[in-house]
Amino acid sequence: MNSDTPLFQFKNSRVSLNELVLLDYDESRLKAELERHAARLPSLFRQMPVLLNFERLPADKPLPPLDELLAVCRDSELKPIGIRGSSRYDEALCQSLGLSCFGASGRGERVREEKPAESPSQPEPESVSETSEVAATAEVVEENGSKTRILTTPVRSGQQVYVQGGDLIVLSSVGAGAEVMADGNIHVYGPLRGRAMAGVSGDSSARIFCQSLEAELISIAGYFKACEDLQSEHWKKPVQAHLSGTRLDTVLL
Amino acid sequence: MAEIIVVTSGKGGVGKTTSSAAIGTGLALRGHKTVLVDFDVGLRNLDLIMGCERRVVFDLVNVINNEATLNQALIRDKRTEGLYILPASQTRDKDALSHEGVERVLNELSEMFDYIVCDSPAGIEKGAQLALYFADTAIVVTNPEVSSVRDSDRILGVLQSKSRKAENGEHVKEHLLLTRYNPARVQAGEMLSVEDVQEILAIPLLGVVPESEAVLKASNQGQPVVLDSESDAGQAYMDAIGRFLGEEREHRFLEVQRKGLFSRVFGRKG
Repeated sequence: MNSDTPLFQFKNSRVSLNELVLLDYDESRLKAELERHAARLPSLFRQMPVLLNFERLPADKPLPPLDELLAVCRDSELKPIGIRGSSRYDEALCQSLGLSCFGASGRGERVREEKPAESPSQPEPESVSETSEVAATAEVVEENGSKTRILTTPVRSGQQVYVQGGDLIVLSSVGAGAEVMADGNIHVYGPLRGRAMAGVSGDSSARIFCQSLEAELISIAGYFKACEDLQSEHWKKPVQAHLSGTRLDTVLL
Repeated sequence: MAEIIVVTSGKGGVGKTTSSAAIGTGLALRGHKTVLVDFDVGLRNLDLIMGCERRVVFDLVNVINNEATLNQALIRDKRTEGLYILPASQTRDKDALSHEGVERVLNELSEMFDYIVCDSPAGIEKGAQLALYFADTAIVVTNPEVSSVRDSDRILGVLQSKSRKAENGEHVKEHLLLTRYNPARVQAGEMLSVEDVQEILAIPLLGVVPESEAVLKASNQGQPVVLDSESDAGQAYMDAIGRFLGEEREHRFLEVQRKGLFSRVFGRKG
């Protein structure tokens, strides 16, 4: 290899991250609550990178000991990569724990401290979306920072797919007993027989599109219709579902 | 290097062992050196279907635990040239199987055979997962019935995520084998049709085996049904094996057979 060719490039990249916003601190309660969440959505929690946000912790409260907090998070398979919103922690301490310090949230977000390059807690692109069983068949479209995920093979009964911060496109079927979730829209170009949940983190403008509506349940931003209600109209037809206020509507495509 | 075939279904009682015996025997009849491995530790059945239950001395678990060599445990089939059976242990349970042990045994078999046919236990737990983990190809046995179809869908998901091929980013080849098919009941709307099942599972159809009295008879006699070349089930299995080996064969036994004068008079049953 030519010794003049560069070995790396610096590129600006945006990754949407979740924050763990602490409202109060109690080690055992936090542990229990995190475990409850992790048990509900294990595929989401597995090695999910998070920022620890202390902005809403009352200023008169003592700060939680960082090492203790990290241990609690890691027990629940969360992967804290940095802290935000507290200059009360010593930066050197944060760095020694492998955490980066980010500025306050809001406009003009800026990374105050560059992370050491060898930091083991670098968020990996794979962690953008997690699935329990279909990881091997999935392709993640990473170019242009798009978090759309395209699945070319059927989502089988018992499988769970979740796309964080983007859309999910399934070119095949979603089997009965399978579960597909996305923060954005869900498109299914085969029959949708399982459960589809769009806008799971609260986006009420998300929609669900499918070639044949045979679902057990569809839900947008938490508002759902189960199979029994769906069967009365547009059953086995190409349909899109969207929210009108708090009502989930299905319309023929 | 042998091709490792897992015969699996998720659901129990759909005909995995019958199909394993038929496929293994069929491949051997077609001249391929084949070994049938029973993974159903604790519920050993393959030896009965193959009629070699009295010849079982050592088993898969003994080989895994280095208590016997592979050659001691392999049973040579007396009817079909080039066919061997590696029985499961009846006195142990699935925990006796270890990942490393199974891998070592399959590697060793791989040197000796063209095809390794693994008869998977029902379920999606350890035994079934180990049986499918090393597979190159899966034959998913399904009955034309909703619960069997859903379980097959589930096992296909496991196959494409928890197998060695999937972990290496490759794809396990999938084949659908529909068994206990009764065209009359399909016509009456009591049974799912081939098209219904294929629509849900969306994998290539290897064969359709009609519900047949010959299967029960063969099982009880300890003789794989493919050796009964007169029977519809035996012929359907041989067709499936032909397709597996890359031949074009038309699907038979999908329509209700009209009884001709001859069979009406003599009352012969298919």
